[in-house]
Amino acid sequence: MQDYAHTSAPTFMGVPLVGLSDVQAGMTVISGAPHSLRDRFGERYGPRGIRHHSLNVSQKFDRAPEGLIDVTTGHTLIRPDDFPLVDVGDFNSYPSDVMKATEGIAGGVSEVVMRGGFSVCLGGDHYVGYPSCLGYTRALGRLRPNARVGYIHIDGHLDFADSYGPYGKYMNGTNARRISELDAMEPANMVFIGIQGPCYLDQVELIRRYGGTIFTSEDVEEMGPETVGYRAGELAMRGCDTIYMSFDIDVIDAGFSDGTGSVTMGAMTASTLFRILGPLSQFPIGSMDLVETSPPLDPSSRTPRFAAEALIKLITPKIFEVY
Amino acid sequence: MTTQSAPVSTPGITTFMDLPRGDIEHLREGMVAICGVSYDLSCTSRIGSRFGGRAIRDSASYYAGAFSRNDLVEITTGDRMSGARRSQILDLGDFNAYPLDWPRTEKELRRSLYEVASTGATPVVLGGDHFISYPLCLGYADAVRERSGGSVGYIQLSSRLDLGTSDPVWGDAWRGATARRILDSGSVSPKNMVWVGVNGYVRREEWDYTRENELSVFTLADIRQRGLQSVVEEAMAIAGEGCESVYVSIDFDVMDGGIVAATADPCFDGMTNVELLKAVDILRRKKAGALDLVGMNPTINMVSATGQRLGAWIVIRFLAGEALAYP
Repeated sequence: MQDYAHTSAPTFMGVPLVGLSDVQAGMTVISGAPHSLRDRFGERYGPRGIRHHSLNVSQKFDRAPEGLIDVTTGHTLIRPDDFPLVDVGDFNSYPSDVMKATEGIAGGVSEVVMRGGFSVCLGGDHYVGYPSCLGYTRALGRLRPNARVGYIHIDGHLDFADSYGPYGKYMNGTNARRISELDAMEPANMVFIGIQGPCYLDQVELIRRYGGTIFTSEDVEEMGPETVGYRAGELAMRGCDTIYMSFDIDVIDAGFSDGTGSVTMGAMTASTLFRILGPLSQFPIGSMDLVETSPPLDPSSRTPRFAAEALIKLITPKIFEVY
Repeated sequence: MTTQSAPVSTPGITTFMDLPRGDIEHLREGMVAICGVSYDLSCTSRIGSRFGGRAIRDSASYYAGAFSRNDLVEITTGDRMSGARRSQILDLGDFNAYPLDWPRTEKELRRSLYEVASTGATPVVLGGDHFISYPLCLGYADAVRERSGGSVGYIQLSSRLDLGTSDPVWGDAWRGATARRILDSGSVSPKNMVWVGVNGYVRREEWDYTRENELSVFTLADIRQRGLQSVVEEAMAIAGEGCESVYVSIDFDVMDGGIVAATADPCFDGMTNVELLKAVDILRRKKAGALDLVGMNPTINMVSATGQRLGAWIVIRFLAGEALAYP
């Protein structure tokens, strides 16, 4: 147990750093994929930043064996003695070889899932979402050969391009499109939450043609975040066995979260997103990523701190005893 | 100029959204002229908005890749957007401004905007501090009067009234007098002068002046009570009543300081990004014929650089009905 948030090795929430072979069924497994390519750099420092800032939350639990109350939900959260959360460090990432990086990340996630772990891969830019989902579906294909997967994409942007200019087909604007092409993925069960600003019409039309759903930031405002959270979970689960969730921090307005490459203007607030995550965390999400946090662009550190807190909210039912 | 759909970097000179550089003689009716004014010495606190125009242009190059294509949709509003007619937008560079000579700067800005607006192009000016809006608005009114015989209204989105007369230190070249100078010039009728988003402390003298002269002031509290759409629609109706066109000035200090740090004097009960962008959508659908963005000081958010990105996006949303609309 570390004494203060700024001491000791910054694993996520200060949990033990373990090897992949130590992963056991039922564990929530944090990993990192420090891979980033484009625009305002710094997402490669995301995993480290999120881990570091997660310690601000975990130190509260260190001091509260009787548990903490989340006053917004009224739930008491107790960290069990056999805390089912581990951190396996970062997967191998090769900045100049995207396919090798893809295999490095997919291979790591796949092994976590094969061992029964719930994989949370911290990016890195949003491209990481594709190899992470690829690894998940590969493992799932071996564990449950006929399983179908729904998809929830929390992001300011669709990332549904087939190819993106000189970057080609494997970068952080094509990740959702590559995911839609995976065998286990049900494109009609792809749900996009928080989309705002200029979108390519062909991407919007293709998603709709597939039967997918887009909840814009304006839709969230009008329908209410809780409703969108429940509705998104239901839509993603229709006829599916599990959900893969890809979570891009730029879904939050730049006024609240400027530590990210593709900042968004006119997007939702952090508290609105928290209210979406509550209902979503009740659905059978099988694996996820949390991407695009760029600590160097935000000296105030509110962005990685928000990322850490949002992730803890999402995995709360998996790691805490909740009353 | 790059021909790739998503530039790896942005080589060449910095123009707004990597659009072509042009001059006044290239402007035609219906085109858009992006202009800059690098002047901030009438700002009484943190200067640096002289770099605003350059920073907004630089940040706008982020959108160059998207608008090199023709099939875009602003997903929250459903508005179709397109880069198909982006050649209708020219970046004219910066107007001449003389840091130590306001009277000369004032004449130059008024004449420059008059010349731009006389072509029938829509001027979009990147400041600079708020005082530049005074000669720019007058130049715009000159051109509209000459072209159509009509008058213009003035609407400012700012946390302040700017109805002072002069300052003991700054004298007459003082941003706190921007709206008062426009009023006193007679170029805009008091019944067409409108303020939106006023909040925080306002001098009693200025507040009383708005009451005595029946000026239309909508505070942030009005927006919270009545809703943004109702307020901005009414504000535009008042500004445009009997007028040919409306000059719109957006001072970045109308934004909440918790959201946009990059302004000399942030306020802490201001507009959100969502609100400002919705306001811009309403303004452009009504009679807004000229826009300036002032008070954006990029030196204050050097690292996150989000103020300039907001500035870039405001301009693009303002042009969404015309030059960046789906043809």
